[in-house]
Amino acid sequence: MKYILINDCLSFMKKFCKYLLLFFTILICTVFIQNLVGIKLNEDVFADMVGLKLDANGSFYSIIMFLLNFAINLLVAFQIFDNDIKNGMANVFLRISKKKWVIYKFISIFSISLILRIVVYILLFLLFKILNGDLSLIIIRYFIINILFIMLINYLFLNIYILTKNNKILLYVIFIVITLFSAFYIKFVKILDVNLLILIILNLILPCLFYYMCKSKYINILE
Amino acid sequence: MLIKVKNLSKKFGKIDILRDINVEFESGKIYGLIGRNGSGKSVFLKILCGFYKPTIGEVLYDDNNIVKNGSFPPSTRALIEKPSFLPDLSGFDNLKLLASIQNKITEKEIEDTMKRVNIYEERNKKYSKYSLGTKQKLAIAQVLMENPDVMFFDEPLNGIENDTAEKIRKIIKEEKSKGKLIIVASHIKDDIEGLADEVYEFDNGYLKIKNEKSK
Repeated sequence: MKYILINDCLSFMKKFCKYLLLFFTILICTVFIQNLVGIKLNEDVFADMVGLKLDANGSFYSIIMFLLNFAINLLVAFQIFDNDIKNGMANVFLRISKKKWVIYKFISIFSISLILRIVVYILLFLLFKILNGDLSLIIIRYFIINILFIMLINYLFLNIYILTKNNKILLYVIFIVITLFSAFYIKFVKILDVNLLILIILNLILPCLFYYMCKSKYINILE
Repeated sequence: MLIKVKNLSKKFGKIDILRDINVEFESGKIYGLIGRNGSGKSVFLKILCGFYKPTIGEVLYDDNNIVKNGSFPPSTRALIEKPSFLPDLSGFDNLKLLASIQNKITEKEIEDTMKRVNIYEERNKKYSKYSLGTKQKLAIAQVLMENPDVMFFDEPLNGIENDTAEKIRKIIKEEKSKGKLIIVASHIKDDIEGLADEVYEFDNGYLKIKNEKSK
């Protein structure tokens, strides 16, 4: 566990430090610009900034913030997942079983995504407070929805990635259908109104699927 | 340990990389694989490690069919293609971190392995500051340190100066005398000849025996 976590963190920081800095710079600049043009910094703006205001009536700005927030997290997930596969396959996989590796990867992806979200929330919270923004404890609920949603999207794309790597056409089609269904769901139900229980259940199902696919002898994740 | 490779073929798309390979490797011997770059040596070693699945065929470690089970082989270590370590950590810390996965060996054993491959003096230097040869020696230390039963070396003498290359050959022979099964692959015949008991050559995807020193 120690090896996977340290290796993932250091490799990620080394390769993606500049992207993270760019992401944080965009967030900081956006808050200041909104403040300058006289937009009241409240929970609504906060939800927009963390990519949670995408819905049917969402503005172009909401879509951009949604894509920005989720893209950076997808980048985290893919970089961590591929890290041992692309670099030093022989170092890791001859010392660890596939089962353990998948579990450690799950913990690694979750931990690093969680830390990244915490940093984003603390940064925005401080900026909002400095600029006399109006925030309440509802941002804790935002945070929970946000991390669950991020993990859901991460695992959805990781599952699709593994399936396409192995050319399992039928399963690939199923995942495309699930993705389209999710997009449809988001279009008609606001992310913030999503039922937490559904989100939690999906967050249990998708990582389980990921686990079974990775450890399956019929699917090769290394090739 | 006996590794049996049965009717093994590997295709990438429509390209045949390996064709109908049948071979056995046993403990206490060094096997040499030669072939030009791109001849399939690394792919073959990756299949033996369980990283790649053959298109057809089986690989058995004693009775353990790693292709059928989708598992990695037991007590096996490998150096395949370019070694990969964390650039900001020292050579010693990199090995210590790798050893922490199985937690089978002590720091003293890691240091002893580094002494064996002549990199002890540079143990605290950052990996990114290592020369190509030192990086290669660290990768060899990674293979040796946990005393595995089976070892695969793909181009192990890449970038290593002559006197150290001789030392590495000596270490590989010492491991053989301990009853280890060792496979060394290289595109340079001189790296293999004089070291291996049996030499095989990859030719158009087929594996052909070139010579048997012991017979």
